[in-house]
Amino acid sequence: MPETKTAAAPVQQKAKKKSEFMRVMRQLSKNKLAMVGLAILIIEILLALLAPYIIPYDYAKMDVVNAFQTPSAAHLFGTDDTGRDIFSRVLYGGRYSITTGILAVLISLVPGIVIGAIAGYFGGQVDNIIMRILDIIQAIPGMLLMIVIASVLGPGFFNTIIALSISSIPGSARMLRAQMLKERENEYIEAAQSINCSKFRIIFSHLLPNCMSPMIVSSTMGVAQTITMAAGLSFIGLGIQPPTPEWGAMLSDARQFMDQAPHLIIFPGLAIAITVLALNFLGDGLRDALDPKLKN
Amino acid sequence: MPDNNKTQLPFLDIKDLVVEYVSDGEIVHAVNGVDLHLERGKTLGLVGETGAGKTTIAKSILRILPDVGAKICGGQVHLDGENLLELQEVDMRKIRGNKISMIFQDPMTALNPVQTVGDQIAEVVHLHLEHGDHTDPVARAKEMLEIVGIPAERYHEYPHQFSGGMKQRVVIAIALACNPDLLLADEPTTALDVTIQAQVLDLIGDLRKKYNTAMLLITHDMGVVAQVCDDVAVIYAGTILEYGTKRQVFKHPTHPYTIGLFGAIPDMNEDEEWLHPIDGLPPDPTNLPKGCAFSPRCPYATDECRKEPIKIYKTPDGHDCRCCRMGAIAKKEG
Repeated sequence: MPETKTAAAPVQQKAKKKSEFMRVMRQLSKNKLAMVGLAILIIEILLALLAPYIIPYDYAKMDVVNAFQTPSAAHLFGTDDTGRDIFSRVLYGGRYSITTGILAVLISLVPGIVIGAIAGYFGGQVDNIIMRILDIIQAIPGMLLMIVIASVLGPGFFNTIIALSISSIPGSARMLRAQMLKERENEYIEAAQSINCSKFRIIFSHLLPNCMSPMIVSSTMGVAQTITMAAGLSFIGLGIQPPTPEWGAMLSDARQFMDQAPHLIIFPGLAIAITVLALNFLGDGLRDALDPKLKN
Repeated sequence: MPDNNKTQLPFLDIKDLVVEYVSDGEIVHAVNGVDLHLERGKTLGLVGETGAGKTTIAKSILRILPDVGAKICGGQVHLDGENLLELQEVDMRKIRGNKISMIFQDPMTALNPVQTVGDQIAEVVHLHLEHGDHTDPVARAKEMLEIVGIPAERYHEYPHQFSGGMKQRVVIAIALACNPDLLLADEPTTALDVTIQAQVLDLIGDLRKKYNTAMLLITHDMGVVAQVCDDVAVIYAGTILEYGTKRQVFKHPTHPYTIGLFGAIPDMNEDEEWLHPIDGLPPDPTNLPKGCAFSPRCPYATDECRKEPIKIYKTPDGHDCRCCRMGAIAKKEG
């Protein structure tokens, strides 16, 4: 049974994939806001990657004499309560914040999609059982669940990512299931059955692409949300450990000095806000670009 | 044994097919003992109202009824001497889209909106490639597009860029891409306007002639039946009421339901103020009448009709009619 794409036409297959990607990119390039979002993200990622070469001070080096400096030529964003350079910390922290957000969402998407697709496509008892299990997981407050997972796994960069992703699996599964339930009623699914598509093929080749646009939008926004949740974990000491700079952790640390030294909270806060905004622009643009109906 | 059958049975032979749906604990009797047969290259029209079980019959032949809630309770569907209902799923999958394919009612939703039309045609070819078969699905898809009258350059376009009639052409191209022996056309022209309807019917007709494909045409349009079919079966509440050649059924409609259907078609030559519908509604399929399913609406019904299921009788010109008062009605109508 040539069920999966066998060697029938690998060349065309490849060419088609590429042109499809190009089409989405072309479409995306027409959307100014999405391009702004993409540009911001690329710049942020580049800055984060090159941070060790750019930053003027060591991000962990304390300089108590110069604590609470307001922004100046020497310290672009000022210094924090222990005299660390905030500019350096924000740049370096991007490495952790952005990676945490993106990785946690990507990791949660894989089981989320599989579970949601199975529940949504098969329906009936299978759906019922899966949904009740998800109900149980979702009945536990998200933060509490993350705390439990993080404390079992112990603090650390990758453990934080895993804790974050596990707690967002039910959300994406549920969302995909709802989409699947809606899409599978369409006649083209019956048509796909009538030309002998296997269940696997119907789910992954026909249904999923039709369910992806809300998933992509919610995922880009999910990255933003995950960054803030990671901050929450850092705050209670279960996330990324000091002195590693992470935007959320910096924000939490700065809370107590909010009225005396607002720049402590403004700069990491701005970094988070700009990233979230850029992700949302990009998510919206992607949704439009991925929908062939809006192609002009 | 199969060899034996091959010589005796018609190409497609449906015997006593019974299909039920379960919904909210109630059993919906969708198809109740349907017999149909069809030879290669011929067309059988299945005529009936919405909910009469027409589509269910087509889906039972392909075995694509929903997993949950639908059940084929009995009967046999022989294609080329093979009972499709007893086949393993693996063997059935070689038949779907290859030997039997289906044209769907609504071209607007029968195509996947996020796949190019060309890829959707190529998919069916690709799925039925045997080992060692070097047909190029893409080339075949382009060829099929040209055959149904769409330039091959439009291979990379999406369904929403096509008009309704062209989408239906694409659906037809998908259905015929593997040269099926049997085509199940489920109201292929219902969603189209009359001019496009004629074009699409011509197209199906031409292609069928070319490949000698048999067709089961599901419709509620007597005009389409008159134009396309060889045989006609009138179905009501999951039972065949009248079954014969097109000539027999159109010349001598015998069952009161068929008579009523023809009576409901307005006569263009006369100035008629009112249409003549058949009074009443089809029976509730969860609670069918004990006797003739049509008896509650039949102007000629007697107690005899309501007592027990009606047998099939032969009309004077030799076609089948499921009416025990056929003779009396014929006399009355003159």
